[in-house]
Amino acid sequence: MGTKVQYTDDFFHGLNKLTGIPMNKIKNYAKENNPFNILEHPNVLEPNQRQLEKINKLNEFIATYNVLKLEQEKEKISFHSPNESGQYFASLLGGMKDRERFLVAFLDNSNSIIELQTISEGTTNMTMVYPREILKMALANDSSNLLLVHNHPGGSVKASQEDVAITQRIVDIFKPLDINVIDHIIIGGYSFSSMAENGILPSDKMSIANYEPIEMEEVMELDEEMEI
Amino acid sequence: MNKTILEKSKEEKVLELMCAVLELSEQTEQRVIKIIKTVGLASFFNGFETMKFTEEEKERIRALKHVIEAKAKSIEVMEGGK
Repeated sequence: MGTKVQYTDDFFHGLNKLTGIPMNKIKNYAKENNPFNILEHPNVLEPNQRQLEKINKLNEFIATYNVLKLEQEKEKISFHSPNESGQYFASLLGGMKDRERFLVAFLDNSNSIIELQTISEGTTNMTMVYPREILKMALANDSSNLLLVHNHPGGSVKASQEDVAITQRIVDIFKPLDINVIDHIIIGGYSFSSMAENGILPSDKMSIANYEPIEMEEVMELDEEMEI
Repeated sequence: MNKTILEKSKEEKVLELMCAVLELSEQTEQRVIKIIKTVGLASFFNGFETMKFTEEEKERIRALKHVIEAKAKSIEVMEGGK
């Protein structure tokens, strides 16, 4: 408990020092709220223009720093478990609430990343995925496996029926080529869920390949989502 | 994708943002960049207290270190030890 208090206190001082937001404002907000909301939703403290700019720069720095740190720690990025891939992609997409992004990691047969591509970026609740583009990149990289990732700007990590259906469509395209979809990670807030870990990852071809663009819409209502 | 080029540009971006956040003098910025390019980010944050910076500069770097660490800790907690 003492360590946690110390951590929070250091965070407050750091935020104050780097952004100029008054300490009492930060502490008052943190009394009843998660202090890390200040980074995700800086307007809760009604910062002035300069403070807002500083927070945005700080956010941008943290995101890029985390990615670089991970890459420097591992010369070759390989995924051996849903937890590993989930943590990796939570570092990349964690906290993104402005829009939905769909990423594909093209992997070799030891599940090391050959290439990581953002396939599409949409709005807060919708993005378009182009299977033809994924196919072109998979062949160009001679991928053995694919790992799909997208974020839910609304914060839910639950896979919707639509998420499973989209995964099935991609499996339908790649299974005949002997390219496996090993997981579909969903990021919400700073958490993640793995379709593979939750036993809902489609693995077999169910119908003929359909290369038409896929419109992904974030389903906000929980009753329409699949419980994991 | 050329991984080396990509990593280099990521490193450049991190350094640029870091300098913008820390608002150090141009001279200190150059020193920080040189140190990080040599020892890496993690070693820099682990060892800056022993490096030749003014107390104010150290305070700013320390502040950034604390924010990064607290944020990383918060992600771990939110993942619930997954």
